[in-house]
Amino acid sequence: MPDMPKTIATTDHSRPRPRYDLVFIFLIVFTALEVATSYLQSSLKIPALIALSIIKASLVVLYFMHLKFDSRLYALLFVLGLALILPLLLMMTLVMPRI
Amino acid sequence: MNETVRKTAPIPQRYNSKVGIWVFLGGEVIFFGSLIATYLFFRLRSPAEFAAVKAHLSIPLIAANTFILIFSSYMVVKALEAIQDGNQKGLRNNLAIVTLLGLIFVSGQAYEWSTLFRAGESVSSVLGTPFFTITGIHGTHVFIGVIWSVFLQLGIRRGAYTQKRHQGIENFGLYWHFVDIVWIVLFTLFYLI
Repeated sequence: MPDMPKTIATTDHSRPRPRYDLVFIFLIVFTALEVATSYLQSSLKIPALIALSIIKASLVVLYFMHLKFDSRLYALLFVLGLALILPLLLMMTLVMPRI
Repeated sequence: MNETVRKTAPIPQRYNSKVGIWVFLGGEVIFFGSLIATYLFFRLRSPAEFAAVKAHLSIPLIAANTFILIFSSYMVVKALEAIQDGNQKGLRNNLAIVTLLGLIFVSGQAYEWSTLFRAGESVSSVLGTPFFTITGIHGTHVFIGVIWSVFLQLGIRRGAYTQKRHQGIENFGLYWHFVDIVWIVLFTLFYLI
């Protein structure tokens, strides 16, 4: 994980404003890395691709969607959705294909 | 008096519409999560069929589409930044770019579908059904976002958004970024792995 973008003061003083340009550059670089990784023949390919995907999604949620700076209520609503769907996801990928 | 101000000022203000958007997005996480779980189930059960479908997928085309969607997300935050600075022109121009990029993304997806159909892929095959369903629903979300951005442009012309009042722009941004996140996941699971 690279250094997280630092924040700068916002004009409306409601919350810090992320360095959107830096987040954007990270997203582009990670996407390019993903595409390059997809052509590799390695046992680490799938874990690496999943990790890059999670990092990219986290960057968007935390900085573009401001969850890092916003009310915890919004984060709770989002995480609740993830927590509810995770058991089904694990069941359908790890258990059911073997039945 | 000062004591009163000190006690009340730090309370963060919440907007009902923003809470509503986050509740909606929480539901969307479950919606797309269940669709993705279904796709992964069929894919793990039918690896041979998946290999045949994957041979027809164009990673360069979809990678370009992914860059376009990420760029559009960046332009959404630039639009929000512009209106937070009271820059109406910046808001209008950045949002217009978002609309254009959204249309390019949907066009790219339509082109991909047409090449897949020409290659013999079917919506009724074991992997075609979840693939076309999920990418289709995602594309519909992008198209809804494009229509939403057009309505925002109409609002901008009426002077509906100002430096102090721009929750509508932020709500749109939350939706658009979520659609971007879904694509980040789909791009990895459908095309790269």
